[in-house]
Amino acid sequence: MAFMLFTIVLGLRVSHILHKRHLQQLRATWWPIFAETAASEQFAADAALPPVRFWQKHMLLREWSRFRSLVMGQATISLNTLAARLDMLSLARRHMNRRSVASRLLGLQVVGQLRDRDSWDAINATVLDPNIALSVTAATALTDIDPDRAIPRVIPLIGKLVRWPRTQVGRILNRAGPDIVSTRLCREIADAPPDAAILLLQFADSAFAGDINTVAEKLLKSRQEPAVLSAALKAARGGICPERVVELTRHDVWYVRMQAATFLGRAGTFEDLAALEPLLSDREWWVRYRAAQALVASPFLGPNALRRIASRQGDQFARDILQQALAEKGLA
Amino acid sequence: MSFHAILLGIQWLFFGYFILIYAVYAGLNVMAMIQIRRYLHIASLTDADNVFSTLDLPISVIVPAYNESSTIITATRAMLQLEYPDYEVLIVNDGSKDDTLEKLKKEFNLQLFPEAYRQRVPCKPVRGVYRSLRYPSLRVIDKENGGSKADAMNAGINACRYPLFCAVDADSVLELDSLRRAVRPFLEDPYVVAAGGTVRIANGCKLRGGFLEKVGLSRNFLARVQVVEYLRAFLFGRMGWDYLNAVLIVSGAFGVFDKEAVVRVGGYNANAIGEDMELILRLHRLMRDEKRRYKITFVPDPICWTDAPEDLATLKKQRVRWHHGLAQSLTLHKGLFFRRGGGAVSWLAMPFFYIFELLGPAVEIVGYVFMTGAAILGWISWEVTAIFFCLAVGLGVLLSTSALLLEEMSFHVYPRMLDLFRLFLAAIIENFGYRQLTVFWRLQGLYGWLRGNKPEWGVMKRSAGMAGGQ
Repeated sequence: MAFMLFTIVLGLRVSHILHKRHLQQLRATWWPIFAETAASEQFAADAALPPVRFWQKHMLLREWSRFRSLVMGQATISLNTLAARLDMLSLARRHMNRRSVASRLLGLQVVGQLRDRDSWDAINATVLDPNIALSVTAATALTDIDPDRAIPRVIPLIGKLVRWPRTQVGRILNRAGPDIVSTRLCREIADAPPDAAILLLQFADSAFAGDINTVAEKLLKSRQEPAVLSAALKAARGGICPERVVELTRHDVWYVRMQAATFLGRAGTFEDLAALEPLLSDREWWVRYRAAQALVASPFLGPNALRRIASRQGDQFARDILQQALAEKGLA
Repeated sequence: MSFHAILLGIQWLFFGYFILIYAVYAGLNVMAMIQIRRYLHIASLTDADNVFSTLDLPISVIVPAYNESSTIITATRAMLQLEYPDYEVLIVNDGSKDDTLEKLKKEFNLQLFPEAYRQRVPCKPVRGVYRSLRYPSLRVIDKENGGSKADAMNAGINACRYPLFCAVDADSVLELDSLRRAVRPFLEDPYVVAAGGTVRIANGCKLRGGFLEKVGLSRNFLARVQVVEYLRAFLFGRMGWDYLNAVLIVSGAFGVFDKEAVVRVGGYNANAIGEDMELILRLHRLMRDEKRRYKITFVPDPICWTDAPEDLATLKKQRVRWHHGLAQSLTLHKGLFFRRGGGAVSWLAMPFFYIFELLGPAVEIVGYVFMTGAAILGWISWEVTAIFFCLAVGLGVLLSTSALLLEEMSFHVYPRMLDLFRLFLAAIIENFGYRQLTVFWRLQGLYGWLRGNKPEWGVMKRSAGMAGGQ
């Protein structure tokens, strides 16, 4: 039995070597064509193309998809025209209906890249597939096909399907762009239960700063959950009622105080500096550290002013942490 | 009950034990295959993107170093070149008696830094924190020797700034993208608290500047057999348990952890011989005590390479120590056995490790001795004895070959066809002498633990490739 297994191992190795060789040949032939197509304004419909053998089709589809994911703008249109000439859409649709997860992933990716509106319903059904890879690829494909229609479908799912890889979600939202994402994302955050709101706030960078600041301020005023308050402070880029943030520097939970200190360092005014100084003596190291960093980074305080603050601290911990923050900036 | 019936019962006990252990391994193998396929599907998606977004979590790489003068500069340089958007490197000089610290100071232009160091997990006093004027992401912590890697790791945890930390041995060789791969589980699942990486054998590989240049197999038989052992342990051992969320070991050579989770359990246990396993068991216990949702996972990509012993004396010390550590960790956390709500950890992994991994050497040796003795005394036929030995050897070969199969289905790390034949040969030969020898050493480890002896740390001799590459 061990020998039988080893024979399979050898078989796999031989097939791997052959596959690699075929792939190299295919790349040598087709990548220059892809590159030329991407560089041209428009793909010439009557351009001569090398013949594609039956067993090469799957590999070519994968290579095309890989190349296609590397380009943007006009190049995608030219490459899609080339794909139409090679009848890749029907092959991708067939892949979508196969049992193998790898085939379905490739199919979904390609129909998305080809912006095949006829496949919308099939892809839409896959968004809820229990396989995370399939569901997130389906969501990406929907966004590729029609972001205006896809984003309202995808955003509510982000808060629910916590298992979607965050990098993938970030990619979907960035691809759709803030014009489409911003309002919907912020609305969803405002109405979401605590866990979902925290999750959605991680994608604040995909929205316009103004929208995120508005929703963050709303959360800071209306919610009590420390994790939500902390996530809102982290996501906000400015424009929040300073009284509320200063109030949060005295919150019972340390990470809320820490985020409040960080926020004041990022977007605070001269008046807010007074709220940071007491935090240098906070019982939590991170709060002290962020407060010290915020003070050092403040455009309103020069090295001498910072040294004066350090010298008037009665607490050793406060002096040490400010000393460290100064040293980190080369000001010690 | 007649003597014959007792003999028959004992024979079946041994047969049953062997069949059961291999049945469990076969099950793990199948689960590992499913898990690796699943992993590769998702990896193919994220690899295509090569996402280096702001979503990547910053990470502190902690490298404990004790008398690492000969390798520390190359190792540190290599760590500083890893492909990751936001990370810091913390070298913890654990009171080295050689010139490790002096070399670091000179090479990286280190300057004493007024760090507001806070001790969150226990460790020996820190003498000073240095910061590199050349590399802002490099800090060196100089501390009193704590007598264990765990103590040095704890000092690193106290000083590190990021939410994740990566524990790396100073003599480990990392792949350039190792951090990105190991952090991925944390990005994909917010409940991940620890992720182990696959460790491969560096003997026979060509290294340059602290990085792996060419994968190869060592000419040394012991090193070659350990390649098969590591494949078995990592590819289907840990991947199989990963499928059940019951990973009990994250190798000390490379592992990524959620810092707050580790701080909550009190950091590494400086008295533990197998501090890596002990920490994981403690994490399981705490998470289950607190009824938290969590995952301890495993990354199958080959991301870390380490030197394996090439002589019997060092190998013996290593195996005795490992088994001692296993016994200690399992006993310290016996509360995890068969507990309500303990899941696969309590009901499958812990009993498996106890019955098959910990007591396995004793049962195996007793089995060999009993079957041979019984055959000599004429209590049982030689045919039955032969069947027993053939079964033990055959299943061992089968198991190792299935690990080769997993490797071939996934990563094809060893590029030459000849390497596959060599590994298969090693998989066969290891069952004639090597396996029995390691079983005996493990038994010694178990005995030493029962007697309360402290196992020795051998001085690791660097393999030719490792020494040259460093």
